[in-house]
Amino acid sequence: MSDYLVPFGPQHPAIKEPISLRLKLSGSTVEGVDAQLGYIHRGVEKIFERENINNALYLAERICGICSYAHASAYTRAMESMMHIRAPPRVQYLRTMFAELERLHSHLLWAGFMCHEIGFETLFQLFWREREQILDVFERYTGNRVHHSYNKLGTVRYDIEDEDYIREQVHSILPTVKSLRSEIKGNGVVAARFKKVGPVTHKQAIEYCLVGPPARACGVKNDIRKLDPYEAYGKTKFKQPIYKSGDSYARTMVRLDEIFESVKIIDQCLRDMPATKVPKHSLKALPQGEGYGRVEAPRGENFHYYIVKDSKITRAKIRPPTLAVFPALETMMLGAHVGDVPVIVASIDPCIGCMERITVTKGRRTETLTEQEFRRKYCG
Amino acid sequence: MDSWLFLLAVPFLAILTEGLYRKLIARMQNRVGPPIAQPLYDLLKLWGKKPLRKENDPFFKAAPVLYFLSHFALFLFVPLSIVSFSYDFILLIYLTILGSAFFILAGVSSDSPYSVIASMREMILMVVYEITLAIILVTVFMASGALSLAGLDVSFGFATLPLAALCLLAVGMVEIHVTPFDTASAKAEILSGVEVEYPGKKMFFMKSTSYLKKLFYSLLWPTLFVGTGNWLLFGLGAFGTFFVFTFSQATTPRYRVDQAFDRLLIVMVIALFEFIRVSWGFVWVL
Repeated sequence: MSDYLVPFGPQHPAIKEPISLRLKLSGSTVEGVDAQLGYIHRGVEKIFERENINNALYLAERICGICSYAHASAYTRAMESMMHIRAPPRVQYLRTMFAELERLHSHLLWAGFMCHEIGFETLFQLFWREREQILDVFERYTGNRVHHSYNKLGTVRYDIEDEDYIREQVHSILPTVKSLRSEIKGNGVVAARFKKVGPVTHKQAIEYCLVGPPARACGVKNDIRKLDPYEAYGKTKFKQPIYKSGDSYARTMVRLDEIFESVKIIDQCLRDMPATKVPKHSLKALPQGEGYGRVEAPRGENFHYYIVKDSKITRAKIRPPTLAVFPALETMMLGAHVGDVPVIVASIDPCIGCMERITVTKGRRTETLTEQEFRRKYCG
Repeated sequence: MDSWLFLLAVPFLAILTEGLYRKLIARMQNRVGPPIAQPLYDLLKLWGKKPLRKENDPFFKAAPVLYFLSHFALFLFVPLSIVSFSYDFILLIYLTILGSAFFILAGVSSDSPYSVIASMREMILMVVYEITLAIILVTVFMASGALSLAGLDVSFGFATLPLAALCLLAVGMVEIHVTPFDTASAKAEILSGVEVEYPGKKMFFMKSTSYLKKLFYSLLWPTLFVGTGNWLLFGLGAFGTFFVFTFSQATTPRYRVDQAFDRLLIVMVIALFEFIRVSWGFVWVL
């Protein structure tokens, strides 16, 4: 029996995107969570249905402001599977490298944000300072820091000219990240705030179908780069960081370890990339029928499914990583101290903009529906 | 007469302290940081602002001014004993408790749930840190045998009371809200808490009091453990204390309120141990 209901959001300093969590508290212990979504629903799956396949690529990229390249990759993978084409080796290496650069910038951003949540402003500043090095690479080769528009169906838009520059920028972050990682590992206050906070067991992780770092923090090996290698991941060697404890600390360490693995992959890409030319964009075949693409985004498995008819998308279904991790949030929060709620929410690295799906508000009543229910009820 | 002039210098010293605090933290975070006089510009801007809405709650209106006055009054005793009488340190203890009480009142009389949460957190921590401060002050006076702050002879140095000196640093961190004990004014969780609803001139008083507090606790430590006899040593002690606070803010994250309470309880036990040791006449053998 809970004592009182405390609203956490939709506007709250600890969360950067609007989401409403109603916490049922008994004293200062969380006894239940009621998550209400729908504050930034954009109906992106519906917008896909009127786009042609070339324009939809840019729409896919705009699903997320951090892992924009992961969405573009998943889209490209789905379309190329329908067209039965494979990009040339150099393009595959370039795509792999850019995906890893994005993982670096996403993880550095998240690590800074996680430190900010517990009031560790210095680490926040230092992590974000290192992130700038990666964003400089993006800006130099694509013209943009976040929305790169790098992929094209069958190819990429720009080739790289100066490989040493990328190597230099990527390696320049390593000493700082190493020292910051050891600071997080050795700091007693960080341990008090992260360890045993928001734990998920191995069994629960499998039952909830957790993806990405939250799953790997529970010992579940589910890296799509290993399970279903795409682009050049089959030709590169790297480890999946695995932890057992499943708490916020493990989720933090998984992401920090992944930064070092990403640097290894980028090094291998730069070394093994064949010195051929990047082909120009031309569609020799048009996609037809249905197809899916899945990639390992920085937050976990990103899944896109499309039905294409006459070079127009007629149905799109997107499952971003946060949508897969979100149901486990209640399990993580049950029994936690109310002061730990911001840490738990941040530890899954939520991207609410990615995962918003249909919510109907009518009068004072709010209901969340699947698309079929929505059509049956409101579309005659 | 000269010592009264010190009161005029206090606001400028407080602004300088805050300016240095921001600058030092910025340098530790590899940033340039604001100019040293930035807190002055902030205060002038706040003073010129009109209130956003009409406030009828008398507590909401009065709390910031009382909070400011109760902390300004502390400078009558520390570091120069402008006003001095027997057992004036008891009044010092009362004034710090009163200041914290007005801080809590300011939060509770605001409408925002964040302010109320901040007040509750401050209330929980106050139970420990104010008692610890009282124990430390009594211990110092017992060790020196003085009756008032003016007659305080601390030529024995802080080496005689090392545990009390360390405990006072921890208490200072809670009082001026620096990490790891800034749970009552957590920016990321509760928007700095108590201050969130205050506009214009009321915010001026809240902000300037936080500057005054930083100055006061930087001066209290050397007053009790270095002494005002040698001004060079006193200045070094004050800057050292200030640096410890700044360094702590830059290098530690924040404890959760129950964790902070547990840690402060340990600090209180250590202070109590020092008190018992002094009252029984044991001395450290160095």
